[in-house]
Amino acid sequence: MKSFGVILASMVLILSSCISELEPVANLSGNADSILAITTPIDSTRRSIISGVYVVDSPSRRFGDTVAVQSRGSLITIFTVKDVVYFAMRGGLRDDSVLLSGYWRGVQGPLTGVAQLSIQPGEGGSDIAAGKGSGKGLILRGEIDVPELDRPEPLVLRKIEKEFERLRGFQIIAHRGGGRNSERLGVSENTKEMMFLSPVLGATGIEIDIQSTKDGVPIVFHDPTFTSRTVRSPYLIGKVSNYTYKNLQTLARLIYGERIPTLEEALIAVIDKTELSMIWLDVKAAHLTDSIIGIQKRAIEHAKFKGRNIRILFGIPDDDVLNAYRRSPLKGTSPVLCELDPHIVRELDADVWAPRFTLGLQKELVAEMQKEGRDVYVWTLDDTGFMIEYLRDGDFDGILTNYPTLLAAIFRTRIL
Amino acid sequence: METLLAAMLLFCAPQDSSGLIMRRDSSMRSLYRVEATLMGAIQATRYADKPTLVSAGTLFPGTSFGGRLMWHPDHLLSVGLYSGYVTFSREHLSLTDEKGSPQDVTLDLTGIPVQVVVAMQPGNFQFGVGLGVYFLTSHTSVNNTERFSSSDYTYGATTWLAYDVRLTSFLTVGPEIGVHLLSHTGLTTGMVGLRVKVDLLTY
Repeated sequence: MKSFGVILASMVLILSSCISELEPVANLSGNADSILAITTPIDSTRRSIISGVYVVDSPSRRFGDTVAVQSRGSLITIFTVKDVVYFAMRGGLRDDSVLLSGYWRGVQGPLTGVAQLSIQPGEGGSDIAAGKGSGKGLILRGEIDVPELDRPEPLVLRKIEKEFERLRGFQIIAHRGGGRNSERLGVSENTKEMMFLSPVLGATGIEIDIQSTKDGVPIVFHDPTFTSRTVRSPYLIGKVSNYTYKNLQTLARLIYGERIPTLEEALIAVIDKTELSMIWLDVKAAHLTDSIIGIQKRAIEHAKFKGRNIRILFGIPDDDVLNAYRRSPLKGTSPVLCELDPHIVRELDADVWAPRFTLGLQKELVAEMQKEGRDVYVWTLDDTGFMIEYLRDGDFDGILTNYPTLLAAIFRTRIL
Repeated sequence: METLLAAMLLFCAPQDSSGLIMRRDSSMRSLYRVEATLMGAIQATRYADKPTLVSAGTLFPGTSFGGRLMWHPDHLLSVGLYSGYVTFSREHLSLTDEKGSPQDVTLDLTGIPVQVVVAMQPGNFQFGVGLGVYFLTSHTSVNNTERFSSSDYTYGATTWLAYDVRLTSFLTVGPEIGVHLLSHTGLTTGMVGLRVKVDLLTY
């Protein structure tokens, strides 16, 4: 009897260990609204003064020694390599000071807290207000809430140089629209909400996945089947392609409650409401090739109409999509990203070649492709060491990652 | 390791009619039975979260029917297979589509478990556990006009406790309580039911 109890307890232990609880981490806003109400927006000239590489001068090394600060619109973001943390701060100018409020959180863990920072008049605030200088030496000073501490922790950042930029440009490409569900970012992967968050995470471009409904509507969804990883409802099971678009609109809610967007909705939302400059369509429904290219072309037209400089690439990841593309009457009428062999890239005259990172740096081939006018994006790098190696020793035009925050921190601070 | 060895020895030890463990005697003939158990139960399923955003709650009534085929030597332990049909939940919802049009939607989730089970039967009691897969099917009806279903499988477990009252030399009946645990689907089901056990073969 006792032995049976031991075995039963072991089985319960094994089974319960399979339960994966996704604790959502709240995205905090601090008192950004009240800060925005009493400040004036920072224009592009002043934003460039704030952006740069900063050293951490406060005693705590919670965020490492060096961080990247980026200022875009009313949003100021900070990216750290240590613990892969991002800050999302809003604010503006008040007299000769810059006032910022927002939150910080670790992408790879549950740590998060409110942050209040400012640039005082004598620490660079006056120069920013006057719109002069490079900003070198300016000090971002303030306090952050840390979950395990009873009181706020001081944070002092000092600008040492401007942020790194590559002459040919560089794409920090966020996987699944910005991040995976496993990172518990508070929004679901491949949703419009995640795409809106992706610039805050450090991305300049996104990769999104295209699946098909039963009635042939291209939707943005990664997996071919519904599981508890992606959807909240136990009634949604089996193949995505078992459900019509209308069924999904009625029944499907993703793990943070969002609806599954159609490809067209997602593209229009990114064009209209973000500053992202690249969208990589990872096509997982080869039979929808014509439909997807049609939507891509309409989105490109919409972007032109809106004056948006954004690149939308039809991705060819495998032979199924390649064969469908070769048969398509729309072949060659829109920009293409090809993940396959270089000779296929040349045959299709693809705009971008995207080899997997396990093939190595391929310096000569990358240089040849660039000489032919193509960009080269490598996928998927999530490890700090690999990112550093591929940035330092390679010459890629973009890197696809699940951690755009980490890549942004490494790339912009040049910690190579 | 000692506990595991003790467990194996206990399972292998023969028992008399009172359930007491006996020492194996070389002159004693072994007795083996093949037993079929049929059971029906009412049940309550609790989901870890509301199954839909507009569901009234997380607890749903349901029913289950099943059968176990067990090989039961003259020992405490028996082993076998379990399958059946479980209705985990069924609900009627008033939803709206993307255009705001009202939709009367009926949803239900059913499962067919296929599991390897082990059980112990001290005296008239039997308790056991099963591990295996559940072939799940979700049925959806929209406005009573559009119907469709989708299927998948997931891993899960059962455990049960039963009491048998012998009616004839080969037939027993009794109550049974049990639990289905489908951790990846986020549901736990408690069952209360009746069972009939038949000795199909004795050798």
